[in-house]
Amino acid sequence: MRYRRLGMILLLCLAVAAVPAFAAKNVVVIGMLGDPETLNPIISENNTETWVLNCIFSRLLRMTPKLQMEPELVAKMPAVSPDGLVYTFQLRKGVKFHDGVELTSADVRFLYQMKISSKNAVPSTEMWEKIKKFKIIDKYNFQITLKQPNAPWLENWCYSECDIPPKHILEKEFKTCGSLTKGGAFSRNPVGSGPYRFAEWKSDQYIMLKRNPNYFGKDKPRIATLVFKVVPDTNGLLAQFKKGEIDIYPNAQANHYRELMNMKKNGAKIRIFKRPAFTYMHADFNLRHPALKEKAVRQALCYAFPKQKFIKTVLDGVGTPADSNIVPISWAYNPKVKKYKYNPAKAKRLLEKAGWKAGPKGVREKNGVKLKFKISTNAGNKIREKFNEIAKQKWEAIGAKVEIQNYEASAFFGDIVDNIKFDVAVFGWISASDPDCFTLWHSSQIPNENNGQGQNYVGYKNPRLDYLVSAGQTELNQAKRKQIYAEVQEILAEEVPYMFVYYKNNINAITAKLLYFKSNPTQADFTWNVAQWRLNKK
Amino acid sequence: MGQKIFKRLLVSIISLAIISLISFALMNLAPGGPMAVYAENPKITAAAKERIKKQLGLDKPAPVRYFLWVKAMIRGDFGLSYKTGRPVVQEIGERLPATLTLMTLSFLISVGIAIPVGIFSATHRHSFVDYLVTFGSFVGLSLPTFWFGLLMILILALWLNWFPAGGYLTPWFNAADFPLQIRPFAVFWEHFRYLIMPALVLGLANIAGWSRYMRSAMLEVVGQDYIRTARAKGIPETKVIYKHALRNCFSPMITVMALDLPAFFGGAVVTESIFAWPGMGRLFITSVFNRDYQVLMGITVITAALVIISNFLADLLYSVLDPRVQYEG
Repeated sequence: MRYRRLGMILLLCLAVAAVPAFAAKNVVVIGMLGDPETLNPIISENNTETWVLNCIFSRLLRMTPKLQMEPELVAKMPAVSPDGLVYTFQLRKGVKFHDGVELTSADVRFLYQMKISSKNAVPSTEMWEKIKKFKIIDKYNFQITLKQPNAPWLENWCYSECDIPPKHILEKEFKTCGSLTKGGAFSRNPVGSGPYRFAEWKSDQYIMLKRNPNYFGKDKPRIATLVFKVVPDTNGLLAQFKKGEIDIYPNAQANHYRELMNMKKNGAKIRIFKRPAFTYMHADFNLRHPALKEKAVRQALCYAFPKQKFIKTVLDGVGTPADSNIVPISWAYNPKVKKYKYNPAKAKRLLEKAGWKAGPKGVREKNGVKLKFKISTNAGNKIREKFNEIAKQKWEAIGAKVEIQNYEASAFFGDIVDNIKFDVAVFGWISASDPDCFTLWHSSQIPNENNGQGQNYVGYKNPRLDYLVSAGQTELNQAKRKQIYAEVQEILAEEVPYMFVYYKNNINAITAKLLYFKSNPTQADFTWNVAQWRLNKK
Repeated sequence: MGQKIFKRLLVSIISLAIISLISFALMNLAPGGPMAVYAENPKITAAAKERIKKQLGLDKPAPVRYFLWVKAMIRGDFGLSYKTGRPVVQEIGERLPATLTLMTLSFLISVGIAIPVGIFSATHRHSFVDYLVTFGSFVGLSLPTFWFGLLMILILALWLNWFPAGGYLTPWFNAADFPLQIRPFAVFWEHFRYLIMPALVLGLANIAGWSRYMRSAMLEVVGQDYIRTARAKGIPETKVIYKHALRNCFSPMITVMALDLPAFFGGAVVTESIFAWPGMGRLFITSVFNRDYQVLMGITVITAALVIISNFLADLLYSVLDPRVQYEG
């Protein structure tokens, strides 16, 4: 009797397990490594948040994978005055927030007011500080006047930093709490005008979104539910993708590429997208270092590092050797810059010629200065750690003495880089699709006690470059800008204050069921066209 | 007795104060800080960083921040997380149920397997099974969790397709989709299928360790005079072991288990990460990486309090199990 009951229970369990209600219908699950911090676009910063925000909110413009700007919330591309200062925007009529209230010029101006308010912890205020005046013409038309002409400025309107928030909801929060914070109610209960409505957020588990049937765009979303599932371990992500618990494995690790390709070869119904991104890895030479301040030394170090081999062995071939601060997919990329092909003999010759002679124990020195330095990165980043190991080996082979000293991420970025305590620092920049690089290379951007700003950590000073990176911002003609940035790239490739290592390739793996998925190399990222996604019912 | 407990309580509070001071100092001495998360974005200016710092209260010197923290903590306010801006208590409260269920099941599995196995190897000393168990314990102790976890996923989830590869619940799971008769089973199974693999992985190390302790405790007791007397009186062997010997084995076992009790709250970093389990271990480790001092202080102080409490409980249990032990503060 007892056994019969037990058998019944087991049978029931099996029946439950087999009930097809578990098989998700019309749901797409997207894997992500960590929980977002906030879904309030005014104070959001990281790119996982962008993935979700793209679905909930809309912005004035959007950026296609071919790097073309298109109207999204505006009826047509904005008109720009001949002096490049005044932009006139016209909003689409009848766009509604998820609660039914219409989106108007007042909401856009509210975004601007919140971004420049010193009460809100807005991470990046760069584009907003360039605005001189925001004028509402009527409910659908408004005009923005800049302090100076600025070519890269308009592009920002394509990204989630410019998601249009509902004034009627957020203004109340701002008034009652005195500021907008990550802890505010809107952060975890956002209301936008995008193709998906916010439904539920369970910390460290998932964020669930539901289709917005009243979406204004011409492509209406068809997938009923989107789930962003948090899987904090990359191997766990791969396993869940293999099992079909995750439909999209975005930003897959380079060392998972081969395994994904094997899956496909063995008949798994998946698709894999690999395309260059606007991210590059670089080794920064601190120009205050007695040996690294010499150009010949830096060039020799570049010649002595085998980029191709590094990409092949460490990155499984997923990456492109870098020679410039601008990525090859950009219109401003200059293919003619000086390239440093692996050539240790030439590196040695360069050092000899510059007067660096081999001293005791094979370490080169010049006028009593030893060719000796430390190389650092954030510990735990396997690719960068391997880079440091290879660099040490290769650079010591040409007569340098290299000590690896890696730090845990918050120590590395928060202290070693920020307070310029490195000799050689290895990390990556995620750039916008515009080639503007003022904060990295203008001499006013060398951080010190007085200005306390800028990312010219290496301390590079060059009047010509100062002129070029400023001119690149104010010049609006793209052909002329192309010339300007061609020269910027030539100077940097000749002077090598950074050794450019490789351009990152983004890998996105998705289930073959999902149609119209298009990865996007810009900050807009892969959810930029989420309204178009369809599921193949077959 | 009452006075002794009071004395013990006083000592506990002083230790807690010292622990909180030391952990706060260590966290703040570590280089870097909560602002490092903004480092790789070239668009974030130093002015913006200053503003964020001020909002978080990080512009004040560390000693001032410590006293502000203590002042609030006494009122039961653990402050706001730097990362999410939400109350630390809420952050912990959201993760605690997941960790508690995981830990409870893994505890039950460990005890349920370790104790019988330990007794069996002690009573069948030097037998083939004893050697096998010994070998198995060492394997169990030396398998790294992340490797064993991935192996379980590979076999049980990917090859056999019995359980999901990771997660807590299916987001679109809705009990109402199931007919009323099987609904409780559906809910149970839905939780259980996600829970079982991480619980097994976590249990493994404990099974291995605890069964060794159980074996040696049993061996020691079985060699005592009173056991010989019991046997000499003709009491059946099973009764000797399970009635007379077993109870005396529990004192050392309780010490071992009580020491593991704070882990119920702290969770398991590696296992929770691999199986995407939304528990305390993950909250702790992400807070370490983000230098989320507030959350870290909250977890550290609560864990420390639990260590003190569980030690205290173990002491009390001794005197219950062994009347010869008198509770001494």
